[in-house]
Amino acid sequence: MLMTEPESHKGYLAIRNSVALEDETDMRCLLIRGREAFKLLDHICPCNVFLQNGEMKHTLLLDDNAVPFADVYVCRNREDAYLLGYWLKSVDLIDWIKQNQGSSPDYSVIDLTKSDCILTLNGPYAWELCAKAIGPEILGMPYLSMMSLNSGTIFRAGVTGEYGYHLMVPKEQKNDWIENLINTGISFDLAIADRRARDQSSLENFFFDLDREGQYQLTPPELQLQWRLSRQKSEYPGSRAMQNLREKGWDRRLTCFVTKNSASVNDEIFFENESVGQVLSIGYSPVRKEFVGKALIRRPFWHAGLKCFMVNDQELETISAPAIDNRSIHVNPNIHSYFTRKEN
Amino acid sequence: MKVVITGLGAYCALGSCVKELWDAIEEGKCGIGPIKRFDTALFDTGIGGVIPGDDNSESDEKRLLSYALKAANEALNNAHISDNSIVSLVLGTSNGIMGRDINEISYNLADELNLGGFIITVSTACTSSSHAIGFAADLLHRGSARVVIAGGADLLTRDVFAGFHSLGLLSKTPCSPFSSSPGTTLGEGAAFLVMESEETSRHRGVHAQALFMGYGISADAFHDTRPDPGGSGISRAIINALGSSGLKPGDIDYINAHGTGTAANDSSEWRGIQSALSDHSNKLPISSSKSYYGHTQGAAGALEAITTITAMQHNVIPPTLNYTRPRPFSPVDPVAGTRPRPYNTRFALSTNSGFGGVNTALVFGRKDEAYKPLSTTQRSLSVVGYGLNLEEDYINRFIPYDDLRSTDMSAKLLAGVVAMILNDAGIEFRSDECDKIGLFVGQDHLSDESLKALDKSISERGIRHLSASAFTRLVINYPAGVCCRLFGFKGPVAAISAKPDSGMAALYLGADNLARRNDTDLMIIASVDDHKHGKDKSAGAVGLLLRAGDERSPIRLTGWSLSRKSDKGTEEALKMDDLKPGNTASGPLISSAGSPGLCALIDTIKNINHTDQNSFLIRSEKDLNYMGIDIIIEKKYQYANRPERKNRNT
Amino acid sequence: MQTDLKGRIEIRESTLLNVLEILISALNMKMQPGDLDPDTPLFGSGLGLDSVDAVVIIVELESRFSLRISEEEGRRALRTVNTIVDLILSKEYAND
Repeated sequence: MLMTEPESHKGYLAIRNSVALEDETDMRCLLIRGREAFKLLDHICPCNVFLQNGEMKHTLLLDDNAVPFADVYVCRNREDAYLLGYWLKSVDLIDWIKQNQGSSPDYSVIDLTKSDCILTLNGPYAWELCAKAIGPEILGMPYLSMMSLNSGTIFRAGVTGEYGYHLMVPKEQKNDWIENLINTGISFDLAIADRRARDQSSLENFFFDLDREGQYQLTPPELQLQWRLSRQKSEYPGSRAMQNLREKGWDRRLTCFVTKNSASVNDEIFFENESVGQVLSIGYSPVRKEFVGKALIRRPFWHAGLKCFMVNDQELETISAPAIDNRSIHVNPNIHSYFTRKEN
Repeated sequence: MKVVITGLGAYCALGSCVKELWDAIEEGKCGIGPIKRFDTALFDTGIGGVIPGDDNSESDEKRLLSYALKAANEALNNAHISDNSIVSLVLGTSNGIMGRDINEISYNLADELNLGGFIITVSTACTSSSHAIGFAADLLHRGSARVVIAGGADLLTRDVFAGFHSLGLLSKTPCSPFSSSPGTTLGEGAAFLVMESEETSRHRGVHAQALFMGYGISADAFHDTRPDPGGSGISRAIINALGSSGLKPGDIDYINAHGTGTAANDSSEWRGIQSALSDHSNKLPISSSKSYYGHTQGAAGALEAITTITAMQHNVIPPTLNYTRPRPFSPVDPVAGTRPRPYNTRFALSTNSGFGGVNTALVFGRKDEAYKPLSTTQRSLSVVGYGLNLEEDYINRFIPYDDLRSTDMSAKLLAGVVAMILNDAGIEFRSDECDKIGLFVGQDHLSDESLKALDKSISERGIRHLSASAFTRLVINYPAGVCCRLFGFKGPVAAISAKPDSGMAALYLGADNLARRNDTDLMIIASVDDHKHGKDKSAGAVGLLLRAGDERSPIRLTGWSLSRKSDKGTEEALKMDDLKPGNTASGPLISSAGSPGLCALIDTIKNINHTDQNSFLIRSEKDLNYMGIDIIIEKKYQYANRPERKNRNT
Repeated sequence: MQTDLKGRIEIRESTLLNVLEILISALNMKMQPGDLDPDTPLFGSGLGLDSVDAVVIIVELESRFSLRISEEEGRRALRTVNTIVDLILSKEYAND
């Protein structure tokens, strides 16, 4: 959906202050069923898949060079498994799973994105809107959990650093749901968000984006995503490359930065006259009123809290992620409400 | 059989007897005040529901016993019991005397009162005395006991205060459940109910004060300390309680909630109540009495039951004190106020939840309520799996490290034997089948490792900075709670301690629960001991899996009973004598894993095909001063050696 | 490299290593400092620590670095390993 800049900005502000709705057309979902569904996932996922009922785990799927090609949540709903997230359009994930399934486990895969759509709500009061529009049982969902509803499935996750919910419903019901959410959202000052608004939000919170920093053949340690892998697992696609990496070490990693002026992707970053890295992503942060981005910086300059760099002869400073103080950190659904937010 | 409550006794911050307690409630008094018994200067708050006492040098042991004695004596007198030899005791305590066997308080109390019946201790954190009340009713239904005194006792100690404080759970002002300022206030005390069958009470010429209708227990299987935010555990406990009482949601007139005042508890509890009672929950008055006397831990279930019953007798319901503004998504009618509200209650629900993710719901009825108790058919029980685990790290083969990261030896030993049992029975971890599995564990003391970790943190860092993670492991039901989380067990869970054999006592109660109820079909009975106090025994866990209603299974559990030396002449005891003796709890064992009886039992099962004998009696009677526990297993038919089951859980 | 920057990097690196070792040992994690990226989220996603872990971390940090961390500070500072380092460095400079 292409929005004008002011409209996109409105969406961003709603993500940061109230709640925004996005029709996420690039988010996909596979349902994996069968006696050995989790055995299969254990085989292909670098993370621990021993999940509680309703639990989700954020992970990556790696190629043989340990470069991620999928940014997914593995989810458990009773005895069913879901892979929810984003993967490269060039990848036929079901095919890849089949090729990497190991000893023909007993499972079947359904591509839910054929029949269902995903509506995402992000914002410090997204929980409250969902409780009103969908049901109060939403309030009991911990972060990274999923639940079956009469009308569909809901996943609590999100990449903006605010409360985030992905509602998966049959395509035929999409328009009704959008209408319902917009109507309930009036009193929440709900706005429609687009990819650009979500992108800026995820950048400010240092979330990984396959179409952004996923385009440079970087490995998990370079992406600061080692947490997506289990240190106790040694047999998964890409594990050998990961093992080599750990032995050899790595000498560059993504670092969060801020700068007052715009810069472009691939612009060199300098310390005095030495090149120390380059900009990989950048965007203007209305909250910080400056530009925020991720740079690939080499050792030993790759730390946060260094104020001495330059890009295009303008000052650049590395900071600890996240770049902003999310309002959601200070909102407690047990105590607060959008309608009493001025008092909070 | 109708179970009635004929005596009440309470001793807490708000009163040294039920009358004092009730008068204070009627006058809107709050029993929460500054704590003087230990120094609270280092903490962010210094209030609690403490019982006033001048003797600060009294030992914890004496103090706890004196609380329990006062409340128990009152209850026995209230019930006009003249001969304590007919009375059994089921006592719930969260901490007992820290570092000692959890059942010590029960035997001390029984000695003081000269109780002649059975003595069982339940320790499931904050639901301990509500468990005790439920199990007391089970003993009566079974016919094992004539009169039972059931309840609980706990002290408010510096260490417990510091532990709750470190977890950020304490409120700076007296707790206001469901209301704006979150946090709880700890309390202490003792409370007991005398329970018997209606028939027994009539024979004794005593009137009922209330009816005990039924109960439900469930596990969250979510987290070791935080409740399942969706409240599904509480919901299950309530539904099971209604089921066992033969009541519908619409029959309940009032709920006395656990309502500790913390944001996490209150919101999940409300969601659980809504989930179980749906629309009816919006019409119900729901109050929490912790606002009067604080969170009395192991005594809470019984003390809140007494508050509920006394209110019913006066045709009122107790309010939630200290209530100012409602929190978003909290009960519609929290009975905010300072005086009890005139209200006619026929049936009341009392809920409690505890560390380890355990939930209980008790149902009480007005004394003159005419109702027909449900007739229960006893289901047959089979043994479909068993195991003995002596290796602490055995569980590491099946569960990822991160899920075991902050556990201790007892939890790992127990989890290991549970994994063994599930594999033996061909059940996949966290499967739909596991959802309903119950777990009763016999255990006498806390893990030495965790006690030492707590003490070390206090001496190294000071009381304010004690180890919060060690503190969360210091409830007897901690290993059971960990197992529920790891394997996804959401059925009834309990931790039981009784001499001579806690594991056998757990089997007695668990088998009874499984056979006479139908909220679950599967239950694991186990025992664990880290044996740090032991001489030559090594640590271990032992257990078995029972399935109800499986007619095809070759190994059945067909009898379970308790006996005292005075009972030699009873019918049940005679029946036992008729049988040929099987393995008894003696003989060389590598480790008894806390229960020689359960070890002997699984040993019997292991060798069952190698003998012509079909019935086996496993008896625990180490010392005639304690109760005897008899279990009968029968081999229905000879079967081929157990097929090598493909391990589904590697 | 300017000695000023070199100095800053050294302080950052040593504090980072210190914090990583403290976290790994206090939380009983089975990993090496090199396995834990500095911008790894601690709660929610990332390490997925819980409220009890939060208490353990604060107690450990207060004790090891002789600090007092308020509830508000804790909420902001305990987002990643890097934010903990920021807090410690800010308090150390404040103490100078």
